[in-house]
Amino acid sequence: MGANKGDEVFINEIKAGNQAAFEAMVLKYQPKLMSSLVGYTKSVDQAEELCQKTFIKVWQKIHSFRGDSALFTWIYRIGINLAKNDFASSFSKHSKVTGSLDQNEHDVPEYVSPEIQLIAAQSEDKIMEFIQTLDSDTKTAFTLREAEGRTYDEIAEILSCPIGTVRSRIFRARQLILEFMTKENIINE
Amino acid sequence: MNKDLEQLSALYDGELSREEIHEGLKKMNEDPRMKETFHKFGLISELVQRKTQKKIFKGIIFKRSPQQS
Repeated sequence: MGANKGDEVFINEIKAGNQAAFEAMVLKYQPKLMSSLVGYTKSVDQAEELCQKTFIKVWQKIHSFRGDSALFTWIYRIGINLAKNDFASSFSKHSKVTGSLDQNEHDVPEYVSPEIQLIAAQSEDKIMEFIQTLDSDTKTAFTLREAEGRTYDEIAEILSCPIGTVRSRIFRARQLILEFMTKENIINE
Repeated sequence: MNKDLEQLSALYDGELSREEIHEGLKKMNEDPRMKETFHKFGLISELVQRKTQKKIFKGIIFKRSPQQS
């Protein structure tokens, strides 16, 4: 599976040196990467550090990304390799950093407070239950996008409706979920 | 504002034209709240995708169990 349409947008812009696109890509994939790294390291602090290192490396190596895999798969591999190196070096008395990461070369944006980098486990089921209460049209469009990774074109075809309707239904779902999360104090407004 | 947020949602999904992408990224750059909302879209995606994968995984185990026993 190669880079999808959504990823291509970011990749091309980042390769052209668009820093805003890089920041958007970080914001988009940080939760997913954090989740994977917390799962791997069993430590939020270590995962945060690795997450930062990973995105620095992504910025440094983006020109070598050829789109043979999905962008997140590539980011994930970088993150897990860094985690493995960290793990190996923690067992070594000669634990010198092997690959130098110049932090000054590009700072990874930090707009996001650590407490909302991941949704608390106890809130996850509440959110999933809330999604089930969405009206059928909204829920279907959202699920086809988020759970199945369908494009707007594909969803429009499946649901026999215009792309604009798909776009507004997906947005409506996200808006309602965010409102629910705020109401339930899962995230701040 | 809703129109901007709907555009942000489509930007998140990579479903905008090149011109709209630049416009969306510019708006995000100018408004920290939009950046935060974009990140929250990521939180929701992560959760839904992980939970859905878990369900599929559990389904596979359930289907295999009777054959194994």
